[in-house]
Amino acid sequence: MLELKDISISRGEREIVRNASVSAGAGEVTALIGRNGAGKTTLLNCIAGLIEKDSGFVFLNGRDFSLPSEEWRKKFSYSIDSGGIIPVLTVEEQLMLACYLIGLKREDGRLRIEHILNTFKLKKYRNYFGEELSAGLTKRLSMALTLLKDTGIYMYDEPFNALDVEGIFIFKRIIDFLKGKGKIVIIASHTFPLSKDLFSRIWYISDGFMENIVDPERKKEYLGYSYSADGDNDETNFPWIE
Amino acid sequence: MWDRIIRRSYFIRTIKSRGSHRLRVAPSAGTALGFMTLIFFIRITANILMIINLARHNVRINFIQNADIHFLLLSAYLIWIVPLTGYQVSGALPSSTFIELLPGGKRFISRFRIHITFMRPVPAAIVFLILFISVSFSLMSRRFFPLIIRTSVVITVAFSAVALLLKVYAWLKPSVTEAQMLHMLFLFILVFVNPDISPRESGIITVVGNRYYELMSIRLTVVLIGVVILSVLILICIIKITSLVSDSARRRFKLSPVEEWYWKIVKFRSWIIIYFLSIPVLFLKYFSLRIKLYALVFLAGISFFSFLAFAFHCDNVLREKWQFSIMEKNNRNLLLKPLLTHLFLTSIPFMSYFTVRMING
Repeated sequence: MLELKDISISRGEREIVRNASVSAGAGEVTALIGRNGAGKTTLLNCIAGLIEKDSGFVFLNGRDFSLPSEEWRKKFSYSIDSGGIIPVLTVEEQLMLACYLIGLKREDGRLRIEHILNTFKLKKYRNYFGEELSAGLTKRLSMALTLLKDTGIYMYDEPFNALDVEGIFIFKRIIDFLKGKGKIVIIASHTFPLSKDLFSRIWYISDGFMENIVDPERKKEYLGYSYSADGDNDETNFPWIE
Repeated sequence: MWDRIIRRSYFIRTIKSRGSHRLRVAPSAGTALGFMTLIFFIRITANILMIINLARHNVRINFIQNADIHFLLLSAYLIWIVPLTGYQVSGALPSSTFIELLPGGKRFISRFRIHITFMRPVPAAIVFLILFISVSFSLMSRRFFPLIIRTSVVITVAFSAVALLLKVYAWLKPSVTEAQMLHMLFLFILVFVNPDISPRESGIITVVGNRYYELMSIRLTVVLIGVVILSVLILICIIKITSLVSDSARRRFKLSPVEEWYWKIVKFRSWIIIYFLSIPVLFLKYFSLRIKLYALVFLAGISFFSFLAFAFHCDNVLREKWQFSIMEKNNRNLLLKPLLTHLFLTSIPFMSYFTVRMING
């Protein structure tokens, strides 16, 4: 279980989150919602250790990870809104670099990359440079990079931005897969073109306050409209993620 | 492909060779900086060759002192410029990439930064020049020990300082403009401090103030290198603090759009740097009255041309985008407030100088 306790974050003089305490359980998909500028990305960046929080604690399964460390980076995968890819490396090279940093053996890395390229339908773009990719392909690559390693937490910031219908289907399959594997999944977005039932809870962020919503009726109310990708029944699998 | 790829050096070399630094450096500033660097290196090389030539014609040369002043200048270049360039170029690796989010990513970025800082032609040229001075001067003076000690001390101190400054820059994260300003400033200082052979005991003379310097102890050389390191740290802190102060002041005070524009182009920190540099020249007795007057004329020139550049920039942008000219008779009053601010800021060193002179009689 991921627990954020008494978290306060500010940017300059603006308070993003004040003494917020929320949690997300294993096998749960959490929707992080809020208006533009409410602080969704800031919160995810803070969990990932990209920015510092003013105070508060981050616990994973009871262990304190409040200070970002190498060990903490092994516990989560995060796809940032901008994609975070390197303009001068090709799609394949970015995946290879990620494999190298994760410390995968050569053969293992090669297999995972081929599998990922297939799943995300990126095979024909494998020699494209990061700067040549469209916004949608950048998003796919960014998501693909999160799945190279087996971690406990998967975080996605605005995953639906620029994704086409095929991309949304792929993403939906991945979320189903991760949920089935008992992973903690956090998705920050304004819109959710996925079934409302997929989400176990909502973290609603507004004016510095955060709410942990689990009540089904309130969940539906907060999630707003939904676009169902339920018609897509293809299965997906990542053998190294247990 | 895989067999040769899965190595850190492959990725570092690939990112570097594909020219990611083109994303960061403004071409015009790059050309100016490159030109000044060339002048600096030509000046140093010419000096060394001249010293060797004079010694071959049986002129008595103070090799230790000549080596020391050149070591000092070269290590100043290494300490001031190399980490700044390295920081700017390594910034081409976009911030918040997937690398930072992976275990070992921070180490990769730090190695990339070190590689891109040191594995470049300029640090190599500096090390070559230091070694060349050391070997050639040792051979000509037949005094090996003092020069070997000096060379190793200077190289160790300078490279440690570069590593330290890289850490400081990574922590303070100066913006591209701030880094380029510092880069330009340091190169100006280096290019204008020209060491020359003095007719007196064949020691060293510099064009700044026409003073004769005796730099005979290794301790003094190391202290001066320390001063160089401190000057970088002080300047970067001043720049960072003024950025923070001016940002928060801009949020607090309500300014007209043209005033906002003025502060965006003629930054507050530029004034702080101008004051920082002009105060010692204007108030230290070390500088003659003529140099002080030159400094004031230079200051007035900078002020005049910077305001002109600002006004023309506004006019060009407005003409292009809105078909509106700020230079027209009825619109000129828009420039009045920025002009008054500019005149006030320019007058501060003038007023302080003349007030101090009047008080001192």
